[in-house]
Amino acid sequence: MAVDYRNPDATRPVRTGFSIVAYPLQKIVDAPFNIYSKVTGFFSNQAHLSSENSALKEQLRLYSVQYRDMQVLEQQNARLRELLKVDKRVGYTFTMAEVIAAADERGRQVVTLNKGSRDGVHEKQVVLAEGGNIYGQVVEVTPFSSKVMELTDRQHAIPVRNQRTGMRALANGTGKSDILELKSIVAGSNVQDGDVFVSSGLDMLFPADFPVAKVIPNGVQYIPGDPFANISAKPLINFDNTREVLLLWRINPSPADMLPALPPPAPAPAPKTSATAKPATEKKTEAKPTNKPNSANKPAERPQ
Amino acid sequence: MIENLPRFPGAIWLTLLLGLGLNNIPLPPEWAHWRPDFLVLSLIHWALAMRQNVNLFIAFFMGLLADTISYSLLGQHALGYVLVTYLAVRLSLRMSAEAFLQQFALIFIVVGIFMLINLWIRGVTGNVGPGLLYWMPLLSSLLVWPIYHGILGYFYMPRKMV
Repeated sequence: MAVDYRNPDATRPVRTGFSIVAYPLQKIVDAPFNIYSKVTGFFSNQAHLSSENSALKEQLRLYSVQYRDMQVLEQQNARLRELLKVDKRVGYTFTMAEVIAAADERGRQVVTLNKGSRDGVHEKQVVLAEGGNIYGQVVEVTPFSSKVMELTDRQHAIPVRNQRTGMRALANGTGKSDILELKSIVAGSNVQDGDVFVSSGLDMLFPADFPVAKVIPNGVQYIPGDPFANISAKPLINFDNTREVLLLWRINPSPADMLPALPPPAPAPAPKTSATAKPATEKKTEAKPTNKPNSANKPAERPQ
Repeated sequence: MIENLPRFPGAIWLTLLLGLGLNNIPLPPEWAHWRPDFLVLSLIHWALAMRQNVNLFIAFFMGLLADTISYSLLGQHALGYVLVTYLAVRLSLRMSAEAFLQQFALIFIVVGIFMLINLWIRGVTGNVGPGLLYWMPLLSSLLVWPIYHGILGYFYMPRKMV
């Protein structure tokens, strides 16, 4: 136990082995829910299905046109970047995965997915939920399954940025599936109820400008004598109900295109010029209420 | 003298896996607070029914399995399950297996110690849970025990020794 606490890497093989053993059991436990959803899908109303089908087709047509537009933009962007001699933009590919089990340890928000290393899943991979919101990151991989730590896990933190003001902060999980905590925010800073926080991408792990959480009503609390404000925010995903998630792979531009002198670029639509990027492992980040012009002026983009 | 035997080979393993499976059925969070640890109940059941067949290594193995599934500290559940089995076997010698009140007392003590140890380990590793809600499984364990004990009764059969 002490070894596992101090140095999780040492016990990783044991964990992986037991996870492989546990996978059939988790599959069996999940089977009734799986069968139920399949059966209800099979017996669902024909009229409902056909209306849904036509709506989806319409949406698909719309999206295909938008995608064409996106492609034109992307080509244009690549050309302009080449002219400006900046790094190529990082692209992504996605795969659907299904949540087959959730850990029942209080304070932990870890789920098991049905995709593993044979599907190309690797540790520290970013997982998105529907609508392109960030769900969490992969913490353990076996050949058949993988474990994903949600944003709300007590040991998880993600650097975020206020979409309205550009102020940076760190969103900590609380162990409850509907509350994130924003710590170390200077009391005089301008945070209002309903502010949306997006990922800042400073951790070099999560892609930038993906929505994370929204400040709940009366979520900003000041305690007299405390120089920092306590802010509670609600994640934009319902972690309890999410069953399908998206695994995200970065398509890195070839290393020859990279500028060797700079650190690897954060996956942002615009190049990061700030040299203050901090790694995700660093727990304490100073929240500076200053407007960073390069990040504040960036339009929030939600990739579909 | 009456000795109990497993109804079929692997009956113990099956019930332990059943308990682990029941522990991991997804529940809404407000219900999950009330979920008893079925694996602990299975271990106590076997300690009462056939204490000569209960193996601490099996308990340890199941504990490690539970730890990987719930992503808790490796060994947290394992230590608890081994202790539960040991205590249940020791205490079962001091009571008659049919007396319900004595069974309740035993479960209360053993599950209580199990949860206390889990709470300590969590406290040391900085993962403190919600206050009194943490102890709800202790109550629900007592409520579920008669039914669960009855169901698991299928998995062994008495045999008269001469």
